[in-house]
Amino acid sequence: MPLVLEGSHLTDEVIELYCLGLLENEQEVATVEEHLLYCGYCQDRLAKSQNYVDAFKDAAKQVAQDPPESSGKSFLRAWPIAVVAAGLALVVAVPQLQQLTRSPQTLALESYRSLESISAEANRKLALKPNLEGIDSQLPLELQIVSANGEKVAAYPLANRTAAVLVQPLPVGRYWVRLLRTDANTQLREFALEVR
Amino acid sequence: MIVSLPTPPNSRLKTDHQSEETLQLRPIAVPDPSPPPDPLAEFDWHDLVQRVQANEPAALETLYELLSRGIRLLIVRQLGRQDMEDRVHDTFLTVVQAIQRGDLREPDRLLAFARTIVRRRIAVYIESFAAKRREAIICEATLPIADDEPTPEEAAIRAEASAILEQVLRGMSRKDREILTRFYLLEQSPERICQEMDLTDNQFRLLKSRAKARFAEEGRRKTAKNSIRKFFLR
Repeated sequence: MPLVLEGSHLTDEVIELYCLGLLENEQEVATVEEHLLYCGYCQDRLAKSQNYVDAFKDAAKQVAQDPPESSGKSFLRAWPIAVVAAGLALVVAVPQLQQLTRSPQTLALESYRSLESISAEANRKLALKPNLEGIDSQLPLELQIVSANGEKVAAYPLANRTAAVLVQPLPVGRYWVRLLRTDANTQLREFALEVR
Repeated sequence: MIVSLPTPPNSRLKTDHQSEETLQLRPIAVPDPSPPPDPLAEFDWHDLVQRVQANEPAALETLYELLSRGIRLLIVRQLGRQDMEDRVHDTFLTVVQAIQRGDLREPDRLLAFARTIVRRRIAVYIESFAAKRREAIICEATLPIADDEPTPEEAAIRAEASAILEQVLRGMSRKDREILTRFYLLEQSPERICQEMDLTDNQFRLLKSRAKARFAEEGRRKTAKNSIRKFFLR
């Protein structure tokens, strides 16, 4: 049985039970109602408690209508995580995208195969201009890029001799850029390329 | 005997803590640091009853100030707001007439006496409404319907409080939520909840008071936010 009065006033517990109609003992109900007849302080507390109970009922009904955890609303609740993840992805991806969307780095291939290599930026498109001096303009040519251990990475036909050859971004590493004569399958020149 | 009733509204017995019926969202869980003393601790019931029996206007006014708000509260809880003022006055009049007839033998028991009359009046109203329903041949739509709908202001405050509580509830574990839902929504007794959910009385009380504290905290935060917004919109 809950304590009805504490000092001169009703206890919080009994006010709440009265609000909910959970006071079963008729004597307790009588004591509560007699007190409520005149005590403004407890009348105010009862009104607040009733407001709380009513609001709680509304809220509990609303929460009870929630679909199970795995459905859409839990996803909605996870949106802050999604936003953070997207932000991180942007932080990582934006520089990469910037690299990709930047204008190509133009390199004149002058040095022959030697220790002295030409430097290029990693993950950036390259516009390679090989030195074609002394090569017959009628010969069909191809620019081939091979890795340091000789594996072919890419090949580009040299259709327009005056224009640069546009090369897709390369990862960091050492490469050889070979100028080949395609009809005879012979190598005419070779340039060292260091991608950093 | 003619009983002249005092001017009714807003002339009630005021204590330091008795505010007008404002419905602002105020912290619920924070206990008042100093509850006021019992306003009737030293009250002279014999004197009041004698003066009411003598139909003294000042005594009737005192009695009205003393009981009208409480009578209103009990009636509204049972019958809603419809015809509230009329019912409060009828009930008060019945109390006064009963005192003047000498039905109250022990003046110290005035509150219990008044409460019994209020309960009886409520029972009469309910019975008369039920009789009207039984005897009604006319369309049901023409029957009086108790006005339990909150005012727009009350509805707005309730919606705001409910939204805060929803937030509080969603932040709880499933078990805690179930405990509170059983109590507040399903109106299960604390004893039953504690028994079925293997809780001690203290655990149950603690959970309730924590939820209230969070509600009060969120409410304060929201109120502060609104105040700041209002300040900048001035």
